[in-house]
Amino acid sequence: MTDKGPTSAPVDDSLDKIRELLIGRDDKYIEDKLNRNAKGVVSGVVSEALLDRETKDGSVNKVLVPLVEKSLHRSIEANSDKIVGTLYPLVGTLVRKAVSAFLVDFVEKTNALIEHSLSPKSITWRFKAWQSGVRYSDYVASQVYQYQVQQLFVIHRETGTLLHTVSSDPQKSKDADLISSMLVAINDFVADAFSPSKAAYDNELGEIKTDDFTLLINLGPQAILVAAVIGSAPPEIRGKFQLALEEFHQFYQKPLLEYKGDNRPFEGCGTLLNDCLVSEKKEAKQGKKKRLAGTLLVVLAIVSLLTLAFFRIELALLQNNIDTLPPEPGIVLSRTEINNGKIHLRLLRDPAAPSAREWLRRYGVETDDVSISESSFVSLHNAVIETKLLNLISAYPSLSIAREEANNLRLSGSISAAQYSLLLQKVNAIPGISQLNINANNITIPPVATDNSATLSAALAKQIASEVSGITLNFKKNQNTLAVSEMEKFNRLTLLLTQLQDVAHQINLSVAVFIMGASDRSGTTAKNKTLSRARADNVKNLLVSNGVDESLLLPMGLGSLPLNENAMGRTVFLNVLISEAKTTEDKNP
Amino acid sequence: MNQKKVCILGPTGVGKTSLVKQFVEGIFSEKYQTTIGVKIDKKQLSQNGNDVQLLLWDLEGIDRYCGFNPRYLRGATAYIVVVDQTRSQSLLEGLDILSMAREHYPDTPAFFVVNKTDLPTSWHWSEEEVNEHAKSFTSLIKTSAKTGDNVEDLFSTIAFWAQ
Repeated sequence: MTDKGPTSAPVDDSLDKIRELLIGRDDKYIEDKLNRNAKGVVSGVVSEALLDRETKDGSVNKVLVPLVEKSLHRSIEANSDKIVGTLYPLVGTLVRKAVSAFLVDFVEKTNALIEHSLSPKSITWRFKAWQSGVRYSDYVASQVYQYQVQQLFVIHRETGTLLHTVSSDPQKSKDADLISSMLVAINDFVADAFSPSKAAYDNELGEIKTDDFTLLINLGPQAILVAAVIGSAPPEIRGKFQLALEEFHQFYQKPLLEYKGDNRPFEGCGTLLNDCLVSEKKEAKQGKKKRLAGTLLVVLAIVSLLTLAFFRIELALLQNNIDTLPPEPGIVLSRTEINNGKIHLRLLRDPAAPSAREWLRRYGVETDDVSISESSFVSLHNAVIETKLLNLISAYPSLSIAREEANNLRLSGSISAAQYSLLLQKVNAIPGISQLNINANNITIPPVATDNSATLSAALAKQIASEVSGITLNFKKNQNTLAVSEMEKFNRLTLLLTQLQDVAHQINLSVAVFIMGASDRSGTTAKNKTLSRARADNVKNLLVSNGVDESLLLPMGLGSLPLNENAMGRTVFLNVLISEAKTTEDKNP
Repeated sequence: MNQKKVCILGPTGVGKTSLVKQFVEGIFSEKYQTTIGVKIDKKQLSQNGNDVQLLLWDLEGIDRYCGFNPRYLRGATAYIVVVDQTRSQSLLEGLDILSMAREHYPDTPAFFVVNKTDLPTSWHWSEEEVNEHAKSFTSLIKTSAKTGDNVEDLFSTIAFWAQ
């Protein structure tokens, strides 16, 4: 009985004793053993362990960088002489490298500056920045970057005070202290205002967004990471921020829990945060495409300009060629011009002259690119008059024409009296025919019965008289001289009267030609009488000077005519009286 | 550098914003502008060779009809309850505000500020009564935001207390 109680206790006790003997009280032997060999154990694997950990999550660097920076700083402060001695041999190389790096950077910056300050794009950007009221540099950043994290704030969640901030451009960093506090205040306001009943954590701000600026807010248990991003940040960037915040909590857990407003422990977290200052430039591909398209356009424009210029030069040469062609009788070139890729010619051409295209082709001018507009005119060039005469003579196969001298032509052959009379009439109708000397003495007229001939001539005289009676010469108001426009009619009149007096002479007819001058109703009766007479006299004198027998002409002034159309009165009109054909007996009683 | 969050509470129109403006910028404006929400300012002080940056959360005036958002006081090193010695009611309201704040943050030091000392005292509270009420606070300071009287001292005391 007495053995029973104590028997179980020593068993337990012995186990404890054995353990105590083996590993010591509270694992003391193991700890001692480990402590004694700690250095050896750690030194055996420290490099590999560091490498493994660095490869795994890069945390070794993050821990070491601030420590090394601090140590270096202290070392330089304490042993500056030693450091100077060590660095002295390197300084020359360092300076050279620094200078060359500076120069490269300077050149690149200058290039960028030129590109951003003088290009049309930069001017447009400056205008747009001014228009939207943002700074030029901010606008450029918003255009150049797809997104850019400009500044990061780590804020103590409870107090709203700033723990640390990093910025991509320190000059642009905002007053981080106030921003941090204000952000926390806004967050508190939102949480309180929109969810009084719910747990505050459910309703905190995740993002504040303006047109071109976004504040991405990542909440952690003790700290908030806020990223100020321009442009549109991709969703995956949030993951990066969250990871950074988690790492921050991991590394600075103790200072965060013990935070009393002192942010010195967080000074080293810049390394950790710098990884989050990321940006992505907009792809320049589009620009390149645009530039390529632009180049193509420019090349096309130049090619078309050159082609146009080539055609233009070709046309100009052709134009010059036409302008310097020797003058063609019966063709007067009045104007040449280039328009719509063609040469336009304006010319005057006598119908008897060759066609303009024929003329051009004769001189080897291609007429495909030439458009011609011509007006008719009467040429007094001897060659044209000759052509007209030849055309006329060709209708009479029995006649031939030969040149005696330069302007002397001889007609020969046989023709009836009536044909001869008609021919003369036609020849005399050729304008400028007087410039040529036509010898018709060699034309023989076969004899026909005199009576017949006299009858025919009398008929001809009547025909001419009728035509003369139909001629009206118009005058300008208050003018008694014949206008140039009436000269054609006057020439015709002269010709007719010449023929008439010839025929009359042949068959011994008496002819009286009344030249009746008239006027309109304006002016006094006396003046109108004088004016009308003057008109008749002038016509008579002109006819006389053109070879018409004065004795045939009887001018008279009618004064004003009582016509409905007043202007019709300003005329000279004619009437012819012819006596009956006289027989030989009549002539010589 | 040490940063300390300090909140300024009190009824409407007692001069909270004026106190901050006098302390931070050294100016006083007769023009009255109501604070909406919260306005934050900062000022750096030197205490025994250590720099302290006070982040001053100037909260909008609190009256009996609208409570205040206690979350604003989170993490504050201290808070100030300002009352106006020309309005008896402001002291009662100030005491209400203190009790509301204490309900959420019982351990945060609370400073009692009687403002507008440039004007003659025109409330009906006797000096004894005021001192009696001041016992609920960490400290009592009488200031004038207009003349700047005691303003610097008030914030220096808080900075000292916060260390």
